[in-house]
Amino acid sequence: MKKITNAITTTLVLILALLMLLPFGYMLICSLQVTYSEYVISFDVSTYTFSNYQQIFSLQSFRLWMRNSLFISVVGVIWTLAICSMAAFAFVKKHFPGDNKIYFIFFATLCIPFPATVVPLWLMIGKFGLMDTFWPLILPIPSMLGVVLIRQAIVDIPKEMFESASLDGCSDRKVFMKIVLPIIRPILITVGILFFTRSWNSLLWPLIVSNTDATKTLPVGLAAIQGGVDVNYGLTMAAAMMNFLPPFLVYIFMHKHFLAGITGSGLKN
Amino acid sequence: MGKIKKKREKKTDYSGYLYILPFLLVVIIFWYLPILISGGFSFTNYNALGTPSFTGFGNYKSLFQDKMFLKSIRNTFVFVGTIVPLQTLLGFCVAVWVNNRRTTWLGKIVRNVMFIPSLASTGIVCIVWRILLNNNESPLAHFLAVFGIESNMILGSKEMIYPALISMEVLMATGYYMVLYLAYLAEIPDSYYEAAVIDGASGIQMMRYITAPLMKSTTIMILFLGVMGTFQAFDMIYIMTGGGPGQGTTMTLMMSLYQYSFKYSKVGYGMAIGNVLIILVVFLTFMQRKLLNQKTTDLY
Repeated sequence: MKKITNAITTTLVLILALLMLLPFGYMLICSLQVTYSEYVISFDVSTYTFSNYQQIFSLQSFRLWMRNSLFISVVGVIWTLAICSMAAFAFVKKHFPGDNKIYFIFFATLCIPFPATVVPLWLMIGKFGLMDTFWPLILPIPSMLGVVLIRQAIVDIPKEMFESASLDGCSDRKVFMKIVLPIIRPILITVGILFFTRSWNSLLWPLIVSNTDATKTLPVGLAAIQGGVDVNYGLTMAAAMMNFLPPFLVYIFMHKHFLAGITGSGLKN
Repeated sequence: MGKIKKKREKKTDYSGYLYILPFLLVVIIFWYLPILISGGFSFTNYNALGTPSFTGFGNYKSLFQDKMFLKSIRNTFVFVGTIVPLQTLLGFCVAVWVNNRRTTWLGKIVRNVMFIPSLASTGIVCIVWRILLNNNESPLAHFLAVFGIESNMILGSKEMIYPALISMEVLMATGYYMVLYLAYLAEIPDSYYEAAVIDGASGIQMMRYITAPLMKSTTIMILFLGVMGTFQAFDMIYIMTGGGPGQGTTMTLMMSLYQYSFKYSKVGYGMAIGNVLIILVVFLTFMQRKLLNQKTTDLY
């Protein structure tokens, strides 16, 4: 009986996993084939080529989209980690008038759906003449989620660490740089992965503020070409692969640390 | 005694403001200022070109007489009401399955494979789904043909579009919630189950009396995250249907906000839609806090 249920659940889970992988497998195989009009999937590895990839990389606009996406996401993650960890450190270790109130005001932004602010933000960006620049794409990336996650990690650092540091005459800045940041590395990686994938994959906001190839991101560029009539599937799939690979690689290299810090103090207490 | 207390008390340190300053600016500029603007402009007939003139509650009044908008609210609730329970239930079941096999290679593979869709852009995956559906030679088309379904008709069919979109969204989102569940399931000490086994509990009983109660607050959190995510979902509808087929069959709140603001340039109207979205989400957040009895979870 137990064996039967085990077999059934295993089969169901595997079917589900296969269905989830279907678009990715299709993407990968199509991208490796020269498939213009007849797109019969072939599993014959000897026919696979990288010619689609060579072709998309020879397109200047694709190279630009790729470069823009990388630039925005990398700078955006650094910007997020920097300002979120600073704010989190101040909320845990520093006492200043109104700190709890300010924390609450920040916290309330978690209730505000970002898409609802998109229209007024677009007006603001237009007023400041920042349309088609990188500023509106990078600066709004951080959110309170980063501060909340990092704050929890700093709270969990044993007090003795800070006491001995201050006995040794460490300045706050040094405590932050030399003690806090190295200890909370796992949570910084988790937050980094979250915000990297989020900004790399975002479509709505870049769609609104970037209209030229100079600032267009990869998803925006791809969404624009997929509407065309004569779509070269092999090329589209190769481009889609290139959009999928960076977050995937980041996850592959960092997945041991991912979510390591999130449950630390959740249900355990 | 007094001395010790003095030592323990944190002294006021104005440098704290310096540390929060960059984040404070981001919060003011990108969250609160837009809301103020949106609040103001939603009472005007601003169209991105002329000077706005005050129309009072005109936008809100016409919103609730606008058939398309009412339809978009209804559709949004249909999506939330189907996608969220499905992905949560599925995420939970798979998480339990994986958690029981967490040290085996099969469990590890399933865990990582199912997380892949959360790493990819919804928009891009939807482009691939579109091709899979519209292309008569794709494996999906062959599979659906077995059941007598013509896959290239699905995106244009009013009856099939909902099941199709819902199952695609569930396939894309389940993995993320599964991983969240797993993180919390791993926190349940094995000794609970060992004790239950000694007492002769069956698998279903352990599920009912150990796993389910311990996962209650996690489930509320995951439901909440799912509702928020689905409410604000834009990419799938934008790529797959653009709100169609026909007169707004799959039009959602986000899609109508986008269309009114950027396609028809009715900016004031678009902002009114945005404000309705904010009010809905704030209301849901309060509900969720109530459900959790003020217990703060660390995810948001």
